[in-house]
Amino acid sequence: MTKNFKTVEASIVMGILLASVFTAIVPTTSAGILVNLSSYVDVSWGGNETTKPIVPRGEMRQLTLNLRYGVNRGALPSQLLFMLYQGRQVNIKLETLETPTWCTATLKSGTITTVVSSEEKELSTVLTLRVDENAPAFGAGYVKIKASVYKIGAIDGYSQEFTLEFTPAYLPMINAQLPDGNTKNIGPMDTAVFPIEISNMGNARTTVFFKIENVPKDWIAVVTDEITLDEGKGSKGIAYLTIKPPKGFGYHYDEQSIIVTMTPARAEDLTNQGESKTVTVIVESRGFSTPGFESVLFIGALLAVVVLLMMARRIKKK
Amino acid sequence: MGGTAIKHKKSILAIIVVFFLLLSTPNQIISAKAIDQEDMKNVGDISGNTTSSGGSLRYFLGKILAFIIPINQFLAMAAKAQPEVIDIGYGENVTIDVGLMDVETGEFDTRGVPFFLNARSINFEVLEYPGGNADGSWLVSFDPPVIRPKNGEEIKSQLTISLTAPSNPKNAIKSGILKIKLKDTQAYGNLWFPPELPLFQRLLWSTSAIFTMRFGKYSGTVDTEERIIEILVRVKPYHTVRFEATPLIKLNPGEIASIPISLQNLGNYNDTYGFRVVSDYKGIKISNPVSVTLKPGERKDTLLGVAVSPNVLDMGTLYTVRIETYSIDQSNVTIAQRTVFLETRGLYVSELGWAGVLLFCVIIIFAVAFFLHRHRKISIKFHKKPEKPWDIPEKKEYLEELRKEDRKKYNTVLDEMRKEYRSSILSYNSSRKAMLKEARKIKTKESEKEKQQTPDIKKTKEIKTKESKPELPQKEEKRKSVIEKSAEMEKQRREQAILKIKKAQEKQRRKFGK
Repeated sequence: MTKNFKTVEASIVMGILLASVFTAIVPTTSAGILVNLSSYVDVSWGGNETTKPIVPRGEMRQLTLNLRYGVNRGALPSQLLFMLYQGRQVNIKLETLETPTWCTATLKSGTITTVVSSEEKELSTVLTLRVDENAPAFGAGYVKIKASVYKIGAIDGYSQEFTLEFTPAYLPMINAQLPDGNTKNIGPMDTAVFPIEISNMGNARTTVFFKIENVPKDWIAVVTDEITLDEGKGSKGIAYLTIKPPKGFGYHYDEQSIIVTMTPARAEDLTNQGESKTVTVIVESRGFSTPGFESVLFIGALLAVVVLLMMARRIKKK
Repeated sequence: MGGTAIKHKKSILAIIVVFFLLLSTPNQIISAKAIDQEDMKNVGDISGNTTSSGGSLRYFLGKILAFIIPINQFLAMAAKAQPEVIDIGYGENVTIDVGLMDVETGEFDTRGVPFFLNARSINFEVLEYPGGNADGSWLVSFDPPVIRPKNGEEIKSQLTISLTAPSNPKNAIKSGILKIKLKDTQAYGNLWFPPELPLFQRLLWSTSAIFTMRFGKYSGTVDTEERIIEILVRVKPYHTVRFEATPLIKLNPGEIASIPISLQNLGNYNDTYGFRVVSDYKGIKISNPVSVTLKPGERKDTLLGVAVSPNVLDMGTLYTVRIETYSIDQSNVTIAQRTVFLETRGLYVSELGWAGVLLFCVIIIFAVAFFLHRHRKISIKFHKKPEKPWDIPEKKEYLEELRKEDRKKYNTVLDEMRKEYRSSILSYNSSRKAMLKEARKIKTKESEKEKQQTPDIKKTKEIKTKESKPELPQKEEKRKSVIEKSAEMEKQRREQAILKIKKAQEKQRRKFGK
């Protein structure tokens, strides 16, 4: 009896010891410890689709966003609980959190509906991107997208943010003006200078190349070879077109039009060129062209007249 | 019952002791495996030394145990970039790989979705750009942007880094660290009792999930773990400069001018620029502009020296001078060029020339003055201008008397005097002209005579020497005779005029006497 009593005593002590150890080691108990259920969603898109730069102002780039939705289940109790929720409607909310000021991002649908299923659900929507003309060429563009799922009963909610990167393309746009007009009336000995004011209407630092298309025979026309304009709408630069009409001896009444071609290119990559623009100027050269020593010639002529008069007198006297 | 408990007392105590020993084992294993490749190498080096600290011993113990007991490494993960250091320039793209690393091999992880996970996805986000990205110069894109790992496939994405020049050149981009955040989203499955493991390992796993690591509570949850990847980005020097366009510059022949040429550093580092002038004109001499050092975005002027050759007369010549610039770091590469247009036009007279012109003018003035002076002297000498009759004292008295006595008579007399004066002036002028004519005739005759003389110089000289003495008086006589003749004529005219006046006076007296 005593023996049995001792055995019972030892068993109680060991039981208490084991129970104490177990309670000390086992994590704090909670309701979700065995019945955890959680939604998860991720968003992906084709990396190649965002690599190609988006042309500002005109292009509407449409990107397909692929969504994956599933419900994560833990131990057996949670799997049993999950069975109760199967077929329940799930609303996945998509929203654009942040975009640059020069970008407009629109989602085809802000909410995508699916159902709770043991299999992962593959879904898709379309994101439309449009960039303004002031978007920096080849600069960083991004759209922060948030995908969230609210709590559905025992299934926990979920949300995550994704950043979609893209880049705007170069938009070569220039505006040329002739502040002093596009016509000039000069003498054959004069030189006409036309300042050409160029404004950068594009979205990157732009180098403008100038070329004279048609230089008439005996005329001289030269132009500034290139100017570089800063990025930013309306940044200006001035190039100079210099024209010299023919100055051969005699009376001149020449009229010529000269065409200057301007080609914009991205300053960092001169092969990235835009369409050329032209400016036409008309120069009228009218007047008498002397070899330049007219003053000397005048004095000489005067002397010649005096000499002739004297000779005539002498002849008369004789 | 109690007897069996006493019987197995020793074995129960042994189990308890082993249990407590095992409590610390997984921690040892995890700590041993949670080190990266570099650490493993270091440990490997250390392990060669038998006298090393307990760290290496613990490492090897952990490694052996990990081989025997497949303990899941929840925290033993790392991210990496390959390569970790890149060089990039303005307008360039660089592609590298980023992803999760297998800490044992140091390579990209290929384990995909472990047995304890229901789903897994990895996406990326840029945390920090080198020097910031206010201008949007950095563009970082990932392909694929979101990884859904699969077993046997490397968990990595291609990272493309693009760099464009900043809109404001003062915000130059230099080397720095690109920090990327890797977000690993894991949906944990049944962590209490994973069915994929063999029974013994499952028991150990459960023990760990319940007692030691206590990770069982994460069953059915979704967790996101973040890793930071640091990439050292070296931005290559970008040499470029902007020239301001210069309008047509007009210069005179002989002029020396310094033409300011404005330039701005559009590169990303402090740069020193040298210049080359391309011009093969002979009419102008050009000196190379002085080299300048500019900070990024800084603007300065340098001077192009031009000396125009002193052509006497330039009708307007147009010159195009091309200036090429280069960075002293790459003197053989022209980074920008500008054409300067010059026009030379005008008349050039040197200081010596001006002195000559002045001297010539002075000589002319003197010659004219001398001629006039001489002419006047001669005319004074040989011809006296007739005096005004009313200024002769006798006549003046007479006129005074008349004015007092008879006013009408006075007027008529004065009128006649004036007429007389006019006629005398006319005769004076005609005689003067006649005299000049005669003088010219004499001169022409003399010259003709000289011409008619024999060509033999010696003879002419002899003749001249012989005839020179007697000829002189003849000439003088001739001149004298001419002068006397004219004087006589003058006298005659005067007398005639006086007679006329007297006759007129008598007529008047008679009239008034009647």
